This record gives sequence, C-alpha cells and structure tokens, in this order.
Amino acid sequence: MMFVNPAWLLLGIPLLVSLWFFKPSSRFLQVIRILIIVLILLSMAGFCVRLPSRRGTVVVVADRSGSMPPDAALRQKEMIGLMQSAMGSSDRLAVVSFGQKSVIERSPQGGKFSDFTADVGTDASNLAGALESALGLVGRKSPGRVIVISDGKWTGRDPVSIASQAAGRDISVDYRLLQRAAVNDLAIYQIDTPESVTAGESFMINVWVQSPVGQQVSYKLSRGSQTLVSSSRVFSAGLTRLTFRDSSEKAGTIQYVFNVSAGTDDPVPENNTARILVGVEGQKPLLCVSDSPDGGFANLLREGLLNIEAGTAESCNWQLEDLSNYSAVIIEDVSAGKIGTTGMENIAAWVRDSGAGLMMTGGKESYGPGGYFRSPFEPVMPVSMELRKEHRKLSLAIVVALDRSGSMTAGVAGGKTKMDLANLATVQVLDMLTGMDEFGVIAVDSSAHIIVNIAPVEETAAERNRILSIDSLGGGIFIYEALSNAAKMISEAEPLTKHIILFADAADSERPDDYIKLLEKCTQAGITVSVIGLGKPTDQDARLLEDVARRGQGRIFFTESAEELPRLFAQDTFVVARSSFLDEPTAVQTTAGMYSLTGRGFDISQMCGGYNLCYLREGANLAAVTVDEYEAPFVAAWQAGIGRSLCYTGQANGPYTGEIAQWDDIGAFFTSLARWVAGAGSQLGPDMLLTQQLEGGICTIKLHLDPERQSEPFVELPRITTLQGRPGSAPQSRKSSLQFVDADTLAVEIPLFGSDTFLSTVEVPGQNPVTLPAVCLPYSPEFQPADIGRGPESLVRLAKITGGKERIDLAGIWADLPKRAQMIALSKWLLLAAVILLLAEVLERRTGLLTGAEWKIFSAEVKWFRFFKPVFKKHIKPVRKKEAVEKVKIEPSVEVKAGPEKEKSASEGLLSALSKAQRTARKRTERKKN
Amino acid sequence: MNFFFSSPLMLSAFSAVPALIAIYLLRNRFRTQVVSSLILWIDQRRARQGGLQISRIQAPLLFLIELLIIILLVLAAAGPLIKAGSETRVFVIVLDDSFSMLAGDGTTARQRAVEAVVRLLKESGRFNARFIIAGKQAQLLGTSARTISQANELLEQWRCLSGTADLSRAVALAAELAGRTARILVVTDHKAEVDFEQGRLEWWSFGKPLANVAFVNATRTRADDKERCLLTVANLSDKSARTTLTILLLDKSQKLLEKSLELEAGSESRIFFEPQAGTGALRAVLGDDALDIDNEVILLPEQDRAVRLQVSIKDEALESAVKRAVDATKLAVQSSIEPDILITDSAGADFTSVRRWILRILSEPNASSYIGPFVTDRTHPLTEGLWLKDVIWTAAESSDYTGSVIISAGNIPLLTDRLLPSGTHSITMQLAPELSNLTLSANWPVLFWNLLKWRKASLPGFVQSNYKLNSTVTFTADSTEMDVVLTDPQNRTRQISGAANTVVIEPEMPGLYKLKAGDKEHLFSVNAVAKSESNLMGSAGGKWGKWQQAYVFWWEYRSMDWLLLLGVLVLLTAHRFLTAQQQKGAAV
Repeated sequence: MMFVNPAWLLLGIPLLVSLWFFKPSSRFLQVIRILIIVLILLSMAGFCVRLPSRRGTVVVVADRSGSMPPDAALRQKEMIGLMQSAMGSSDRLAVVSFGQKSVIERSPQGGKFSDFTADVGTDASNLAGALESALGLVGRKSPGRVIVISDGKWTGRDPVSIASQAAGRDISVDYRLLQRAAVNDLAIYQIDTPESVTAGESFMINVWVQSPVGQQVSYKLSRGSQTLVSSSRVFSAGLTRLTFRDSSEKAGTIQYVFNVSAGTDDPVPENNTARILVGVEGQKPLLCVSDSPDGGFANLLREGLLNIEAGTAESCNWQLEDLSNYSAVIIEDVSAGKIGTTGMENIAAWVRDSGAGLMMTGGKESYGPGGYFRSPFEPVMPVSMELRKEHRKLSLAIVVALDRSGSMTAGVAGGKTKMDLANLATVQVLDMLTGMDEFGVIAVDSSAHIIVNIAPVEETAAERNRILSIDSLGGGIFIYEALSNAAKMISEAEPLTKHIILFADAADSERPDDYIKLLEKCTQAGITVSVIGLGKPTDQDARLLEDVARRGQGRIFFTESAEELPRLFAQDTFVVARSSFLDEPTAVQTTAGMYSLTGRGFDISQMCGGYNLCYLREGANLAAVTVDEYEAPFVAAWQAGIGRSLCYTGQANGPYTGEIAQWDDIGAFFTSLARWVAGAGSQLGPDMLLTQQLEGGICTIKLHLDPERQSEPFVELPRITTLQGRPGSAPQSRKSSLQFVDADTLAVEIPLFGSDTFLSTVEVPGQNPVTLPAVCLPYSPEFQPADIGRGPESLVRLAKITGGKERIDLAGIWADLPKRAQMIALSKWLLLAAVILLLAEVLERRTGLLTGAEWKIFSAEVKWFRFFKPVFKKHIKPVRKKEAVEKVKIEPSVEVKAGPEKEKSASEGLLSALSKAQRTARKRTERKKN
Repeated sequence: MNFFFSSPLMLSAFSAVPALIAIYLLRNRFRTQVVSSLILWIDQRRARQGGLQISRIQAPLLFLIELLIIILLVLAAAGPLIKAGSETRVFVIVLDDSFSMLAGDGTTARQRAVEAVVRLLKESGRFNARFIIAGKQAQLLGTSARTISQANELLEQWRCLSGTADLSRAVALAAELAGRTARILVVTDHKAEVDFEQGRLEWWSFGKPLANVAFVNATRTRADDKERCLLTVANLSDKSARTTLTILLLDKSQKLLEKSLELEAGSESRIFFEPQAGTGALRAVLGDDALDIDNEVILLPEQDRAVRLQVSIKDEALESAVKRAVDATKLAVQSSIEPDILITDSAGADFTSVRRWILRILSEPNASSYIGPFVTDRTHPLTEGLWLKDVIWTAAESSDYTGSVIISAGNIPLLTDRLLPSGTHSITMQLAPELSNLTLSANWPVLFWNLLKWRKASLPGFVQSNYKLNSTVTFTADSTEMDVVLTDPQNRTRQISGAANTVVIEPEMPGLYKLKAGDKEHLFSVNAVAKSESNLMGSAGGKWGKWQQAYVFWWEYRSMDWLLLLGVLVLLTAHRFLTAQQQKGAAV
C-alpha cells in the first residue's frame, strides 16, 4: 500500500472539523458522509495497493523479411488493430519489426498503431534479435506476452536461446503463422562445395533440388561465364540430389552458379538460382589492366616469368570474388573513368584490407590527368597529385557554366542533391587554382546568372560560399545561353589558356541555337570547352554535348553518378593546367629505396620520355627520382594497410616511354617491381593451420596451434579483417581479433548476409597476412525452403518452450496475460464508490429507505410498481402535467403539488404545535421509565 | 490533442445522474414526529410510505449541488489529462549493467550513480522516471517510478553483472520511450562517444580510471587423454603490476599453485597448465584490486563424453587396423552395452537402436583397386583433413550403396552416408584391406578421428563446461521431450523446457550452475572474463550533454482530477451546510 501524493490527506483535518460543526441528522448519514470524504481524499492522495493484476504489455513481433507474403505488412497491421481493439486502458501494446535487423516500431503504449516505418533490411530474419528486443520492452516482474507474426523462417542465432529467457521470465511467446504459398515452389534446397581445394584437386558439387511434384526440370551449372552442364530430366517429388565433379588448375576463386526451372509459375523464384564460391589454393596471377592488353608491357612481365593475366578495364569485373583471383592489379595508363568509382573502391579496399598489391604506371590517362586526383585510389597511393603553384608554368583562366535546372534537385547519397555535388566540384576547381589563375562561375537555366565574376584567385572564402549556395530553380539548361555568357566572361581574362567547363544534364539540354558558330569563334580566340554531362552517352541530348566538346576542342565526360562530379571536374582541370604530365625527356636515378623493393640496385642509364608530376607522401619509400628541377618521385612504394602499393610515374609502354625502353634491364626492372607488388605469398608457419567453415549462415574461422608447441608463437592476438562486398557499392570492412576458445585453438565467427561476398584476411603476428577464400551464401537465406526447425516448426518450438500457443483469437491475448502482484492505483474505483455512497446518502436523506422505512415495494399497498406496468403509460404522462394530475387515480397519499419547502411553510404552525406536544410526551414517557 | 481521458470507460458512471433524478422522483419522506395522540397525526401513514410514491421532480439547490458533485466525481474518475506546462519532470534513465560499474576504490561506480540518480529525482520535485537496463540487450525495468521509494525499489534490481553493455541500443529504446517530452539520462562509467540529439540527452559517467589486473580468458578442455587449461591474465593499466595467481581445488580449497605474476603495463600473460587426470573443479584467484568480479574464475573438467564404441569385425587384420586407429584418437571407449557406434564388416547390421550409428566396412569379392583421382565431398565432416594422394582404395561397382556419396572413384562409391529416420547415420565403406594401402596411410586414423568427433558432438550433455558471461549455453538432452531444472549461483531454481532434445540457457551472472535433467546433475561454470569491461583505464567521471532546450520539455499531459475533486470537497461542505441549515430550520 502506498500514496503517490500523501499531502492531500491533510485536507482531511478541515473537512472533519466542518463535519463536526454541521452534523447530519442521523449517525448513518454522518458515517456515509465521512466515508465519501475519506474516499475522495484517498483518491487525491493517489492510494495504491499491491494486487494481482493482468494489466501488462503485449509485444507484437512482426516479420518484414523478404520471405513474407507481399501483403504481409497490411495483414500484420490488421492483426495489430484487432489486438488494440481489445486492450484495456492500463494495457500497453508494443511493436517490434524485424528483417536483417530488429527495430522497435512502437514502444509500449496505448493508442493506435500508425504503420511500419523502419527499414529493417529484407535479406535476413533476425528473429532472435527481435525476440530479445521484445523481451526488453516487457518490464521486469510485469505481466507480458509476445506474439510473433511470421513464417517462422529465421537466420543467424537460434531464437530458442531467447525463448528460454522468456520462459524464465514467465513471458509466453504466441505465434500467428503468416507465410507465402509455397505449394509449387521448386527450389535449390542445398548446394555443397568445399570452401577451398588445391590446384588440380577433384571435388564434388552436391546440389539438392526440392521439387513439389514429379516434373520435368531444366538445370544449368556454370563456372564463371562458362556453362559446365545444361540439361533437363524428370525430378520426383521431394529432394533430388545432383552431383557434379570439377577441378581447377588455376589458383584463385571459382564462382559457380546453378539454376533450375520447371516452366511453371513458381511462387518463390528467388531460390531457383544459387551461387557458390570455391577457393583454389596456389600462387595467384597478377592482373595487368591496359587499353592494349596484348601490348608490350604485359609481355615484358611474362618474359620475366611472372604469371600475368591482361585485360582491358571494361572487360574486368571488380567484385571482391573476382579480385581474389589475383595477387595484385597493375593499372597501365588507364583512366579512372574506365574503372569507375565502385571499381576503385573495391580495389582500394582489397589492397588495404586483404594484403593485395596495386601498381600504377604513368601517362596522359593516369594520375591527375587520368582522373585519379581525389579518387578512392589516392589514399592508398604513395604519391599525391595536387597542382602546386611553384611548379606551375602557365597561368590559366577557367569559367564553369553550371546547369541549375530542375533535374539537379534530385537527391543522392548522404542527403545531398546533384546540385550540391556540382557546387562542390566547382569549389574543387577553385581550390586547385592559384593566384596566377583566374576563375569565374555562372549558373544557367533559361538564362545565365553570374555567381562569381572572373577574377584572379586570391581570397576565395566569399566565392566558395556563393558557389555552395547555388540552388536549382527548375526548367532545363539553355546551352547557347551558357556558352555565350561563359565565352563573354572568359574573354575578359588575361591568361592565355582559357577554358570553359560546361556542366549539363545529358537528358535536358535545350536551345543550342547557333552554338557551332559560337564555338568557332571561341576556338579562334583560344578558348577551349569541355563538357561534363550528367547522364549516359545514349541520352537524348548527349550527342549535342559531345559535339560541343568536340568543336570546343575539349573533353567530354558522362557520368550517371553525381558523386563522381568532383573527380571529373578535377580531371579536366589537370589536363588544362598541363603541368601534371611533363612530356619532355628526363633523366632518372634510383635511390637506396630501390634495394628494399627489388633486392638490387638498378642503374637507369636512359632517359624517360615523360612522367606524371606527383609528390611523395610522408612515409612512402622513394625508389627512383627524376633528375630535373622537380626531383619528383619516379618510383615510389609503401605499405597500404596490409597491402602494397607502388607508383611508377613514367609511361611503361607508349610514346612517352622514352629511351628507357631501350634499357637492357628494363624487363628485370619492371618484373622486380611487379614481383614486390604481388607479395611473397601467404603461408603460415608449420605449427599453425587456418581453417574456414561455412555453416548455417555463419563463417567460422579457426587458427589451430600445435598442442605440442614449445613456445607461444605470438604475444598479440591475430587480427582478422573481413571485406563485405555487394555489387554496385563500396565494400565494408570489419576488423576483429581471433580469441582463444581453448588452449590450442583461436576462433572468430562472421555472420553472412544476403548475396554479399565476404573476403577475410588473417594477420598472425610475425607472419605474412593470409587471405582466405571468398565465401558467400547461395542466395538470400530468406528464400530457403522451410528447413527442420527453421519454418513454422520453429514457432511451434518457441511456443512450446514458453507456454505460448498459436493464437487464432488475437483479441483474447489480453485475457491470457499472467496475473502478477502490481501496484494498482485505486483512485478511479474510490471515486466510483464515492458516487454510490453519495446516491445512498441522498436516498436515505430523502426517503429514509436505508434505515427506517418499510420496504413494501412489491406489496399491493404500494402503488409505484405500477410505474413499470402498462398503467405507467396511462398515468405517467399526466404526472408531468399539472392540469392532468387530478385525473391520476392514485390514493390520496399522492401529493404532487407540494414540494418540501412549500409543505414546510404550510404546516409550520401545526409542526411547532406538534413539536411541543412531542416534547411533553417524551418528558412523560421518560418519567415513566425512571 | 490537448485534452483526453485516461479511463474513458469510467464515464459510464454518469448513469448515477439518472439514479439521482430517480431518487428525486420519489417523494420526500415526512419527518418522524412522535406525538401523544394519533388523532393529531392524520397523515402518519404517509410518513412510512414516504419515498415509495412517485412525485414530480424537484430541483432545489441541494439537488443541483448533488448533481454537480456526481458529475465532477465521474469526470475525475475518468482521469482527465490536459496538455499543460510541466512541473513534473519525465525521465528515461539508461543504466549501464556491465560489471565494470562494480569497480571502485571505496565506493563503486554503481553506488555513486545510484546516489546521483536519487538526488536528481529528489531535486526534480514531481517526477516520473522509467529505467532501462543496458546489458547484453536493453531491458525495461518495471513500470515508471513517481516516488523515491519506487525508484529505489527499481534501482535495487540493477545488479551490474553483465559482461557487456549495449548502450546504443538502450539509448535507442530510451528515445523511443521518451517521446518528445522526456529527458534521457545515461548512467555509465565511461565518457560519451556519441553526438547527442540536441538538448535531450545527458550522459553521466561515474567511473574512475583505475588500474586492474584481471582474468580475460579462461578455458579448460580435454584433448586426447589429457586436460589443458589456459588462463589469460591482463594488466589493464599504464603501469607495471604484480599480482598473485592462486589455483585451488574448488571443493577442498587445497592450493595447487601459487604464482607471482609480474605484468608490464597493458600486457597479457597466458598461463597454460595441465591438471592431473581426475582433478576436479578448479578455482583460480588473483589478488585484490579495484574490481573483484574478474579476479576469480572457476574451471570445471570437461564432461566425460567418450564415445562408446563396439567393434564387431570378423576380419582380424581389419579389426586390428580399426582398433589401432580408434585407440590413436583417444576419443572412444570400447563397450558393447548401448554403444554409440557400431563398426562392423557385416552387411546385415540391424538398425533397431535409436542412438547407435553404424559404420559398415564391406569387402566386395570382385573389388578392383583405384589410385585416384578420388572425388571428395569436402563439406562432409568425415572428410576433414583427408589427403588421398597416393592412396590405393579397393571397391566394386555396385548399386547397393545408397545414401550420399562422400568419396568416390569416378562413379564407384567408396564411402557413403545415409541419414536414418531416427536421426542416426549409417555409413558404408567399401574396402578390401589386403588390396588397399588406406589402412596404412595417415588418412585411416584421420577418418576415425572425424567419425568419433562427429558422433561425440551429438552426445547428451554440455559441449563444454566453462563459459564466458553472456554466452549461450546449450545442453543436449537424452530425450526429445524433457524439462530441466537450473540452479543458479544464488541457489535460485527454475524449470526450463527443452525442444528437439536441446535446452538453451543464457546465464546472467558468473558462478557455478547446476542443471538437473532426469536423475542426472550436470555442472557448468560461467566466468566474468571480458577484457573490455575489465579495462577501467577508459573509465571517466563527468557529465556530457545538456538538457538545455527547456522548451522541448515544457509541456506534458497533466492529470486534472485533483482540481475536480477539490471542487467536490467544497461542494460537499456547502451541501452539508445547507442540509444543516434545513435541519435547523426544521427544528425551530
């Protein structure tokens, strides 16, 4: 028992005093009045008692994963509504939704549930996490119940562990099954391959296909782009096992794709295609990416007995599983645009986190002019590519004409718009220029607006702010308007190199008018024009933009990704500045750093034909340097993360290679550099074994130590870096440590998701990093046919452990909440009692029924029972009308005219006489008693 | 919405209004007057009939007051809530439940935190506080507290025994619960590393950077026929430290080892040792320091779960080879009573036992020898570590071998596995030992090691005996349907239902647990080994964030019942006064 606001009890003192002064006519009335006051005061004081009660919390756990029916959310909402309609005022309802992650959609509260809003990811069913969250929402020692609305499929942790917790807290888990019709689901039930094999080893690929009925099924097994098997046969109903055999001589990662189809409508087509990866152990080749893969450079390396694969950037796939086929990538004068931002992000992460190598050679399509300034490669490269004032020989003037049309309002990642990124790209151009240059900006829609008038680049803060605040105002860009105003502005500039960067939407560039004549005049005036088109080369206005760039003697860039704009603007500026690639023969000399890379010193006796002017980063190893006024790095290398990165700034094979191509040692030189980039291979010591096992969506990596070892092989625990790659996006990197699980084994578990590829690299102190074969799930586990314990049975199991049940009657869940002792506020019930007591008081005061009067309600003598009889209709109506009262045939005792006050005044004299007689009589009777 | 009722059903009590009217419809009774003679009181009969007759409703002042009182009482009972400026402070308080909160030099971080929270609530005047425990998961702690005693009652449930604290998840839950008007307070022992939502969250830390030497890992496993223990002791401070490691027998407190450890700042020392066979539960203790909970671990011996194996092979050479391989593994004991595995060279072995697996090694009369390449299902547990190069394996072409092919030579199955409906496995190997060198190669013991290890994994009992705090403990029961009784280190028992012969337990505190399944009692220990929680150097005291945007919290839904009830009391007093006046008038 307790009071929330006990201060109100003090009011009892004046109230009792007032009762003392104004005593009621009878003790009964006095008791009732005191009770009323006490009840009200208790209510005001917040009187609570500990009582067993069912009021509690129901948590709805709603499955929103990909395996659920398309209308699942709607049906779940309806079910929640049903439960809400039956909840009491003290009950609370919470909603947790789950997919890849679990999210609390609504904390325990009354009121209506609006809708599911959170993005939970559909590639997994984290039922255990959702149950954990649900249990967290039921207060300790409070009544609660959880209802799971799901198809019962789960991934990750077994929800049984949470069910035991729920049972320990007396929280039952009910369920309501909601699942896709899987009647006609042909599915790849399981696909088994070893995680890794040795080169040349034969191994089995076992595929279990589940067919709902006996039927003709076509199936196909592919390795990479090569079809290994394509056939069809009659599958009986149930599981059919297919076994394939394969082997590979080439080290790396083999990707198998298996597909089945039956030609009928399949409710879950997502499980008809499975992908699996098999690692093949051995020395991996280097990948040489070049615009001329059959050219001299790759052959030169092959002659050096290096295992080289060569290809163009366009022919390469930059996913992690593809990169894991190689020990290193060599970029031979290939522009960044051909690799793409995602490709560069994948390569950079692969080098940094999995111990691979990257080598870049110079040329006009490389480094700054190639678009690598501010690219994902830059952080892993041992050189930087900025334009430095002291090394600039030519001043230049640049005017940027920015499209501010309506399409620029579209959003991109990070909450920015395309316009924001175009503004940032423009600011980047400004930042690259120095005081010797001039810069101007106009924003163009149907007319041109001067944002920054052309002027020498000095104090730039105000200009930056103006550029960054350019907003898109709608409409399209008027090309002629943009070009003519930009040309007019730049013609006022002093530098001889004059350049216009036109940024326009490739699908919405209008009114070119007489741009041909205008561009002719520009060319005559020494003004060049480059175009950066947002869109594809196939867009409707792309040809116009290409023509503008061609006639303007500039470059054309197309990109669909606004995030690439800053890099492209920078690339064009580099080319215009012409100080980044120096195309004059230059002498080169090696440094002592060359020994640490190649183990020998090279005496480069010949001159190179040109090189990219870059700057050595702090911590990088300078292996060769130019012998000119810049003393720029010619060969530089460093450890990038746990990988290796090397920059050769000269052109390896092309018009600017120079005399160095005739150098006798050129083959050995490049081979030595490439060998360093490829790394020394990754073998652990003889007393260690690293294993990787994939089971139930969890990849377990174990390091086994020799139990008979004489000493501990390391002090620091081995670290593991796992790259998680998904097509079209940058890979995510996760780091952790292997932990001892017993005296001789260290382990770590990595959960796998969806269709992502996972590439783990283990760093054992004192050993080279070891990259394990890439692993992936065959398909999103959401579409796995119901397995034992992973379908509706799992829900039954949960309910059984916790004392729950399949809940058909959703509204009845509140009645099944367990009773628990709880502090119950009695205020409202006390007030209800006060109302009843008040009525009793009034009844007693007016009728005396409760204490003195005889109850003859149902006797014939009492007439008012007729109130409920047919006479009621006859008589009640006249009662309300004064003139009809006389007609009511009620015995004389019925007095309708006189109210109490009137009666009092009419009989005042009689009453006083009667009172006098009463007093006399009482005196007489008392005397008699005495 | 600016106004609503918390218990609108109570409005049905307005039915008292017609009841009042009904009472007033009844005639007012006459007052009882005792007189000397009935002649003088001709209407005496009417007095006892007073109130039983219908009368036209009267609407005197008393009636109106009573009507008003009833209306106000009913409205108050319905719990009127109005959006108004707040005097009540609403808090959602996140409590770090990790065991590092128990560290301290005199007072613990938890004690300091409790004091501060109670002080805050006292200073807040009227308050409404909800508590969330941030352990391995976020857990709402009971209902809201409106008084200090309620808050203290809830805070007693905050025990700080978790091996981790998921504060970010707890803060997310707090934000969800807090809505727009509550202040969120995080109570922990380390500084904030997150950006706060403007003015809604304060982060109070009560930790102190203290030196601590702790167990950060403890394992005891059996390999071959000997046990291996690993204790990792970490000096989690910026100075070198010395401590004493004592290892005792748990039941007899007999010292087995006492060792002085010198640890460099931030270093770890791994101590490997091998207890003698038959050594019982061990307790390892470190010297006292700022945090006691991580200075002790209990290491139980691994449960004896040797696989019972029956070898029933007629071919003596093969029997000898099998027994040699089995002995080499040290994972099995030979037993013909309820064996877990039967190894036989008889094709007609029965499958009547629900527990027994069978390995049949069959020599076909027309067998040929194969030198590979062998195709191996590397995903099968029997093939781990096999290297079949240079192996000669004999087999015959036969279609009798059902089940999954594990190893084959071309299309000839050499080793197959069939899962039986009882959940047991029937494994068949084709082998003529006299024509094969398999039994002489390293693959032979590896094959049996894999088989016995695979079988052992599904034997009843715990997979291991010693667990880290917050890990999941799985118990494999003998039967599919069973309940077990778990006794925790504080001797509290609870029954747990298993499903599919598996019982999963999530222990909440370190110590020794007992699990009774049927008539067997199993023990397991849970140790508070978590380096991140034992490392107190990152602990700090201070406050981060500020509930500075008071306007965010300026309103709340406030109960208005007190105002209505005050009115009721005034009206009741007036009512009493009027009725008293009436009585007085009547008396005169």
